[in-house]
Amino acid sequence: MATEIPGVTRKALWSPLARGRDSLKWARRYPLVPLAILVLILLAPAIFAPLIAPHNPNEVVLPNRLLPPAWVGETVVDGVVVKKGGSWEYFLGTDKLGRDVLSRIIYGARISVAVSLVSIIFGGLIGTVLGLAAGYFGGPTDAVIMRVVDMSLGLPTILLALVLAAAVGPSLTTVIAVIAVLLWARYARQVRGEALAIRERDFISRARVAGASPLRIIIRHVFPNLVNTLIVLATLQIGYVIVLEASLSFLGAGIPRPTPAWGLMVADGRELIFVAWWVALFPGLAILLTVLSLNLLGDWLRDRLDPKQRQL
Amino acid sequence: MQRYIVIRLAQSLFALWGVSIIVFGLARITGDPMDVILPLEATAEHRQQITEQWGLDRPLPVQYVAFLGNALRGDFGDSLKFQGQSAMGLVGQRLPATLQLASFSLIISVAIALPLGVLSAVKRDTPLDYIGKIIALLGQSMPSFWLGVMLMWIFAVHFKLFPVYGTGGLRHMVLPAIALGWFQVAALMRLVRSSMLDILDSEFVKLARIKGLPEWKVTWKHCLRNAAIVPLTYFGVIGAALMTGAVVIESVFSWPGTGLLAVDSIRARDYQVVQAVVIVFSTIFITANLVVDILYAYLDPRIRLR
Repeated sequence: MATEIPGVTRKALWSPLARGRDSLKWARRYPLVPLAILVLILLAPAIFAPLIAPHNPNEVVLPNRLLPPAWVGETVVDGVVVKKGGSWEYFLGTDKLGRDVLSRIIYGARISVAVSLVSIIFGGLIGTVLGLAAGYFGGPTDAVIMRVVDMSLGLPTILLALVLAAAVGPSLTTVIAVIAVLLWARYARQVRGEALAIRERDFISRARVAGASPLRIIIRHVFPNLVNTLIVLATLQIGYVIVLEASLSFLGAGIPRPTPAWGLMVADGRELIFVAWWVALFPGLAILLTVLSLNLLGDWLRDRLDPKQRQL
Repeated sequence: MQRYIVIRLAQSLFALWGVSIIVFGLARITGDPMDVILPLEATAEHRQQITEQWGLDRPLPVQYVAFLGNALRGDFGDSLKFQGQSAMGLVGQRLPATLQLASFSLIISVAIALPLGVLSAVKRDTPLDYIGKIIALLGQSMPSFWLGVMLMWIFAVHFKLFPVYGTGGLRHMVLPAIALGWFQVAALMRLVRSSMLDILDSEFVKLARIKGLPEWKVTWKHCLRNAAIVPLTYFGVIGAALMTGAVVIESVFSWPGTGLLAVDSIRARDYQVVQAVVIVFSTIFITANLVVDILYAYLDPRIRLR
């Protein structure tokens, strides 16, 4: 069982693409249960938002505006109610238009998950293709691609995202496109580095001798060895992307109103910080907990799948 | 070494050139550059004036050369929102406020990160190390603008310890500086910790201990001196990150720096000012990275050979 198969790296054996008994070994070695639970907790509100959310996130009920969270009692001065108390109907309170904060957070998860997944897939795809081309072919292809990578890694991210979003006009598509444009370079650099190393391995020259085309070698022999790296990088980046999207939305260059996006909700809450702290607090907590768990997951995955990149 | 500097310098210039293309291109790929350059309420007369001034009726390469020539002289045209002021002049007016905030934030970050990083390396795997780890994790996961709003709520609105926003004395700077620096504290602390861990294993530390030096002297003098090299060179990167981070934090606290200017100009569609801010910030950012890389190469000869 444990014998080396010539030309196949151990890493490839452990990658999710490996089949049969080897993939069983992978599953036993790296318990997927905690991972699955985490992803489920994150994805569930996003997928099942209409079933979980107690209210319509965009339903405006002006009489119920600025209700505090359920556990906050009413303030009474001389027998007159100065501040309304919370109600269990609106567990985390309501915003200035009487919209339910909890429901908006649950629907906001949809936006965050959608934006981060789609932009990482696009950015990762572009980066991987260019990185593979640069690493495998080398020479002028490599030089040109890597200069552009160096350039885009050396630019102030948030400012460029702001300008891009402002020039094209804020929308869901713009945000995704902007983030994908900002992400691809990191993939390209990482993939290129690994592809350079893999290219020198014996199994690649054997494939070449066997008459495989460069495209086939890249897809069937180089790429599978990169899957682990890509998974780790993507997990570590989801958190970053969620914060980036929220920052853009906060500044008014991301998701347009009245879509329930976490960054927008914090921006609304900032205006109301004197009267209604809950409007800003809870969406930010949602960002914090989501990104925190994704970062932990990413670290854990990196230690398991890609120990080379482990930090002290 | 000289060869390395020349190559890095060329790369940086290339990156700056890229920024100029992005800035130039963005106003034009979206169709009529007038839509981006001019605010909605612009008059026909104004349009005519800008068209002639910018030569928008000429072919693109000619326009680009003209744009680049003006940009090199720091001329990005006049602001449309603040009539009669040049875009570059506005940036220059606002830059000191941003620099002030960023340097204050840098001082706070170092004052927190350095001792914490050293202690969590020396007292590895103790509760103190875990506290450091938690701070680092929180720093990486917390959006700075939300931290800013929460600091504002707790310390300015609730406890009334600090002013809510605006400028004034040092007290106005405390909350924005913490919100801005938090992420950098996390990064710097981990960096100090890992380089301290490397140093603590080395031979001269053992020698210092055998010599009978007190442990605090070994840690804070002998180790820190050597371990600080990496974090010190990292300062440029942190400084640049603080400047760009200020874009977000300045809008939270209405701090009248370049970041707020950028966000306001983007909202007001004052594209001339936006251009100027982006170019100035990119120049600072790219220069900081260049300086750091050269410092690294100077300290670590292996890098030059790459």
